[in-house]
Parts: sequence; structure tokens; C-alpha cells
Amino acid sequence: MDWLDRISIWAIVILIIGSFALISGHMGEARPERNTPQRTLSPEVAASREVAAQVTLIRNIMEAGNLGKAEPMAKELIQKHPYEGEARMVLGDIYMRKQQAVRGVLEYREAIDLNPDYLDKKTPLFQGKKLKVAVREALTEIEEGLRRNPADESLKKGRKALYYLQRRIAGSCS
Amino acid sequence: MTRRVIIAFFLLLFAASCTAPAAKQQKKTYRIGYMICNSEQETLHRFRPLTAYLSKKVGVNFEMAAIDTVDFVKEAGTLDFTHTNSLLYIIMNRNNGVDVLAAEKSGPLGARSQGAIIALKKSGIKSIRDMKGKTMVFGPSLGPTAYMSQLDLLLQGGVNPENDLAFYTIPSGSFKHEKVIYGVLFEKFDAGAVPVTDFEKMVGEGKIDRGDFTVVAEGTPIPYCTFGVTQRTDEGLAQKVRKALLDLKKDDTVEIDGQVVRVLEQADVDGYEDIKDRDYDSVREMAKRTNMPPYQRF
Repeated sequence: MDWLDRISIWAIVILIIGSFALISGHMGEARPERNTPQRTLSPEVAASREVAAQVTLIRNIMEAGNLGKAEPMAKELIQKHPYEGEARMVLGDIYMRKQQAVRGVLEYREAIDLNPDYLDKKTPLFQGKKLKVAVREALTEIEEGLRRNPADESLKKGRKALYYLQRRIAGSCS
Repeated sequence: MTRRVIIAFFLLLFAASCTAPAAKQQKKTYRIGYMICNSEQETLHRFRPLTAYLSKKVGVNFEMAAIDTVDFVKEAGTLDFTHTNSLLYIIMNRNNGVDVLAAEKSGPLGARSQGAIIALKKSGIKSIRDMKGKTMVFGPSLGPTAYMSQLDLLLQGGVNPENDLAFYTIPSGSFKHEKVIYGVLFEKFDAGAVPVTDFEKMVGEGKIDRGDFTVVAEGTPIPYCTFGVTQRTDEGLAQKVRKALLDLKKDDTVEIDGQVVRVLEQADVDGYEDIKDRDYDSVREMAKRTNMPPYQRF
């Protein structure tokens, strides 16, 4: 065995050890996500993209103060996509800006029933703190209404829904 | 022999090409949105050291964004922390679930701010009633002590700006508070709406003479600029930031571009104070009385 053979053997040994070290160092790591463009969209993905685009548009109109235009657009979106929580959430936001806290919170409740992630702090959809403020405001509105008219059944029904939401918020991950 | 040399060369080349893996976990970056006070450049200049200081103190990366008052609510969903006036805070608390962390202290009023209506002494305007038929210049429309407070004073004094003033306007562009004060000083308008802090600052800097002006009316003190946390941010991190802000002392420094700067001095702030959400109820009541967001009725 001459000097070149020895160097070759050592190089192979170093390479094997190095490979082991690298492999064990990367064990358990997630594979990087590939940004390969999707060629076809499933109907669900296409629908949720359409909802997201519509919600963004409605939110922009709402933030510009054009609530009269934003409200029918949100209602139309709900009719078209009755199982999308985001459409209910945006309608709730519109009612809040119209100072109709009780109506707003009832829409938020529908949104949460469709997608409980709105109350899960671990998800990017978490809206718990906003909902807490809205529920507090709506309860004050209902209490004032009931003081004026204690027999108002619609207010009592609304209060029941609010208590339910209050329990859900209190029990959420925050 | 040649074959062996080639094999050995490639083996060595292959071994040399193995580099150490990149750092497995990079620090997460959090975004602080600073409301533009006078100009974007001024805001970035003021709060760059504070942002760097918070990164160092809390152990995470913070990046800053200077955001216009009218765009702030739209941007709230992209932010982790907010630095705004008290009106923007109550808007985002109601509409976006932003929680208060600390209030900023600046000038003789500390963590409070106050709006005033000023006029030149020689104008003869002494009270709100004298404002009827006069011209007036307001500060930014989302400024609690540059617009809302003065609107509240006028309405409570029986003067509706829409009907009872000869004319009113809001200056465009940057440094609106200074423009309002100069507008009154150079008699372009009979009266102006200014935050007391900014008026006193200009007096202190020798830009204006207090003796030229009369204070027609002063609003009630309300919380000054506010640090808030958005609902997407982890509660533990929020408390660390809050503690770092409350512990900030005048001598605390940070290195920016090789230069050591005092954080509070460059931010033009005296410090930060503990504050609760209920302390903003006076701002909420004022917003309701003046039909301002988030309680605006269309």
C-alpha cells in the first residue's frame, strides 16, 4: 500500500464519518416546501380563493366608510358560500361599524360555529379579543334595552346567544 | 497511478464541498407599526433606536413600519405591536382586538395629552362663543388632541363648526401641528386646534412667543401615545415588551450605525407608564359625543 492508497482510504473514512454527521444532524427536519405552481385547482380551493378575494374587497369598502355598499355584498357572499365563516365575520364587522353590536355579535357567533379557529389563539384566524369587546358592548346594549322594555323577547333571545358566545370565548385558547 | 490520483482528487473535492448546515432556527421577526406623527422620516428617526433596544432586550427581532394615521387600521392585521395616539388605540381595540401595553410620557402632562383652541391675543377672541363667524384651522382629523378634543369643546360650547364657523380647514402634508400654530400666528386663520404638548414644545424651542397667544379653551387631559399589542401576538412576548418599556431609563443606550444613542432622548419621550384600558373611557365618550370612529354613525 503506497502513500496515495493511504490518502484515498483516509479520505473515504473522513467522507463516511462526515456523511453520518450531516445525516444525523438533519434527522427529523421537515422537508422544505416546494413552491411548485398548481396546474389545476380543486373546486374547494377555487371557492375559498374567491371568498378571500371578495372578503378583501368588502373589507376595503367597509374601511372606506361605505357601509351601505359593503353590507349587501357581504350578504350576497353568505348566500353564495353559506359555510364560509369569513363571510359571516365580515358582516359582523359591518354591523359593529353601524353601531349594531347585538346584530354584529350574532353574526360572529355564526362565524365561530362554522370555524372554531376564530377562538383558537394558536391559529392565524384568532379573533378572540375583538369578539370579547363586541360581546361586552352587545350585552350593555341588551341590558339597556331590557331596562326600557323587560318583556322584549327578541332581546332575551339575543342575550342567550351572547351568554353562549361569552362561554365559548372564556373557554377558548387565549 | 493517474487513475488513483484522479479518484483521490475527486474524493478530496467532494469532502471539501461539504459545508456546515445553515443555522437551523432563525429568530422570528415581529412588526411594530409606528403612527406617523409629523413626517415619516421623523418617525423612523425617532423610533429606530427604541426598536433596536427592544430587540436586544426582549431577544427577538423587531422591524419597524411608519404608517399614516388613515392607513393604520387597515394595516393592523399585519402588525404585532402598535404605537399610536389614544383615538387610534380605541378604534383598534374595538375593531381589531388590540390591547394596551403602556402609555408614553412626554412634557409636563406626563402620560396625558390635552387639546386646546388658541388665537392671537389681539384677535379679541376670549371664549368659545366668540368663535361664531370666525375662521379656524384644525390638526389631523384622527388626532384626539388636535381635532376631536377641540370639536368636542366647540359642540359643548354651542358652536357647530359645520354651521357656525365662517370657514375651517386642515393643513395638508407633514408637521400639521406646527402649520396650525403658524397659520394662527401669521393671521391666516382666527383660531387653531393644537395639542398643548406641541404648543409648549414650540415655545420651548423659541419658535413662538407664548405672549402672542391666548388659550380660548382647553379640553380634559386624555392618555397620550400608546403602545398596544395585536391579538395575534403571544401573551408572554407582549408582557416582555411591556416590562422592557416600563423599565426604560433615561440613560439606556443602544448602538445604531456604530453610534451609541440614548433611546428615550432620540424618541423625544420621557418614559413609559403603566395604563389600563379603562383609562381610555374618556376618549371613548368624547368619540361618541363628536361622532368619531369607532362610534361614528353614518
